[in-house]
Amino acid sequence: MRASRGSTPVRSQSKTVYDAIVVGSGASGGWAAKKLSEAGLKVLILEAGRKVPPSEFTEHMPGYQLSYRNFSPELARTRPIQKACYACTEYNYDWFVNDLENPYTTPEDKPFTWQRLRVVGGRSMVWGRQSYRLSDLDFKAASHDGYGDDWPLSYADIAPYYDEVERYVGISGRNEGNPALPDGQFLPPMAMTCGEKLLRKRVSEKLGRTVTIGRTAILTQAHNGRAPCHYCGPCERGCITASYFNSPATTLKDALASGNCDLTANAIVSQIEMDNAENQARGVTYIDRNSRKTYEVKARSIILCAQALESTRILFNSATGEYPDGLANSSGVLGRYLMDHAVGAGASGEMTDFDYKASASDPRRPNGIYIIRFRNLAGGSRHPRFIRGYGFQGGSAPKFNFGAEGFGRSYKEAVKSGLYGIRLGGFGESLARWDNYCEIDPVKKDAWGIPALRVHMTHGPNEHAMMEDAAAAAAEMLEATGARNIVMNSQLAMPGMAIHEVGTARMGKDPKKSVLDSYNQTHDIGNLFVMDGAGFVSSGCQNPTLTMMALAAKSCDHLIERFRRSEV
Amino acid sequence: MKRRELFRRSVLGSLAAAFTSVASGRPALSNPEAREFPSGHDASKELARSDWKPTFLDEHQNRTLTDLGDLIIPKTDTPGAGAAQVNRFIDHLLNAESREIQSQFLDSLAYLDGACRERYGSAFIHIPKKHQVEFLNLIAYPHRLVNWGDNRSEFPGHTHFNNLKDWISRAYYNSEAGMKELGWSGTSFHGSFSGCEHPEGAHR
Repeated sequence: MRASRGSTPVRSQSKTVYDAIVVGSGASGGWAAKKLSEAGLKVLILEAGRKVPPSEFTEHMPGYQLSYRNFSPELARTRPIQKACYACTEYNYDWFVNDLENPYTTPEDKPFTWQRLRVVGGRSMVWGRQSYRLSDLDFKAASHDGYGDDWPLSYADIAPYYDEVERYVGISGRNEGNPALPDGQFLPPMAMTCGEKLLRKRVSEKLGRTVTIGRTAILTQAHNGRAPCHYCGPCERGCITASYFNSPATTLKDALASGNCDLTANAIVSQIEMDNAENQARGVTYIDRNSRKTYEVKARSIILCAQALESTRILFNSATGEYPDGLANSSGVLGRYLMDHAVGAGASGEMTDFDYKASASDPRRPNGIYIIRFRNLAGGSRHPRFIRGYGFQGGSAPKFNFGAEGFGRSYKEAVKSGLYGIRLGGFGESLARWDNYCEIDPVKKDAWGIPALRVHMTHGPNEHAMMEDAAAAAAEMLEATGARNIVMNSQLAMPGMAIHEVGTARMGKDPKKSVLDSYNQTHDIGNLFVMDGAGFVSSGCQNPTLTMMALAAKSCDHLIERFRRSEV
Repeated sequence: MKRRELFRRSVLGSLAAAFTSVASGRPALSNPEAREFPSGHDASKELARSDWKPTFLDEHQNRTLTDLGDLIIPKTDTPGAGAAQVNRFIDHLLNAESREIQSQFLDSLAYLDGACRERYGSAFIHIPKKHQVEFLNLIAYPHRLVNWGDNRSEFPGHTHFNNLKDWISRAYYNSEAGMKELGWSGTSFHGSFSGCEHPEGAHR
């Protein structure tokens, strides 16, 4: 679909021609800006949202000091979609987009939830921080089971960049020697609770599966000038000690310190500008979020790191006569193969033999456990009902029993006596399917007049069968651990709810079947890149951010080399 | 000294000098939209004013909620719902809530009075405490109406009780008194998380 070009006269903001414009300042944008600016390239970061000063961090503010003790009705009014994310609260909802200003559409029978932040740092401000490598079981999944396409790169190509990113970010975790989840460069692991240790032991003994502590981008010792975690709990409200990884405290800080990088906040990129004669991108147009004035900035290369769907939207909205179906979309693949992990299924129960009590003064570990994929492994048996696999996240700890029945003294005592809970939630691979896609909505526009996205996505029979198995497997493992009162859920959450959307500008060797090459460069336009999750060919079942960062780092090294050879 | 400043001093004083830029003071607002909480901000103080009056509930509804709160979360060796001014917070939140949620709450309060009038001839706050407790025992537990065959429904009183209890419980356990009841000591800074330190196989 061809987007209409605005008729507002474009006003050039500056004569400067940057080497690179990075659109988006989250996990991948931060890496692109850091790598390129530290290599001496002149970089401009454009971020659609505002800066968040540390004075807005509220991780230590008790709920009773808030107007509505974290039950604010304001979320239902202006963040009816965003509030589905556990991290969107009365403390920080203004970091999430206002849904009234940032609409998207879906067919009635295909609900999709799109969780977004528009602030400097993007979703890295509130991300779940779980950091897992993909393996060749993922990169070469099509060769393994015949479905879909392999990535145009292998684990060996990306492994050094996983190392680089992990060393810089500071991932705490434990090496397990399990080929389905490659080991990494870890800081000391966080401790497990009694329930989790028992789960690890029993599941290993009885079922041969690996329960490990979550590999998380939270420091367990001082690292690169940042202090270790002090276990207050709610990372998503900011961290004054910068103990969890977010781009403003790390990559963006380094980029800005290089002296080669500018950052313009409140700059909503509406489209990429082309030099049609040269078939090169020459810059981008953005709208100032507050004044609504329009600016054009020029660069020798353009790198989209706006988040998979948002980057795809920019490419669609940049359609030209040469690329009528969206920029860099000669293949017709742009927007297709949208993936988001299948989540929602799992099981929970109680460890009734444990008598530890919860206390609000206990340290709060912002991490859980992880169970490494055990279905459809290389050389192992194949499940008859689904391909690919899933992992689990979860935990076991004492908690208060607010749901206790009754009233009076006994209720008060029951709340405090609490329960020792245990729970496992599956994260399943989402298959890349042509009919899961996004396009530009023919009518709807956002508050800045930019055409909005229309998202079409459902989970298919493979995801449903996989999550049913995940629920049963979770119950089996809880049973093996000695849990009681086990309750299962085999229902999938709405697509988008994992907030792991990837795949809408996929990589590939064949320009007719893919948008990007293995260096995140568009096949069609030599100086246009998409370095966020849009390039994923398959989703694996691991949380995607670590891989996005490693791919961005890898592709930036390649781009730096091309600059050195004057190829850009 | 204000709470956040106090915290910054106590926590950051022990950290590397790299963080002194954060500790040195609150930067000026760079953007008018920034939703910062002023130093010492504590919304609960407003509710504690001596001239407080309900804004959403009427006097009777407020008294009903107050009495019910003290029955559900009574004063024991720790403060109960009354001392935590649970009714005031609920009134404040209801005032901002959607019409649907407001209406559900009022329906549940009205159920209480209707059912008490039916059984005891008077509204909830006008019957003796003995009867209040007796009535709560009827509605406080999961309560199925099973008619031998497969006709099965929930006793409506339990749904209304749970609705009111949920409001009271949330308001109480998220108040300062309620957090202290759960062991909150006022600090969020914990040096480490030690986890299970038992020898393998001895997790009790």
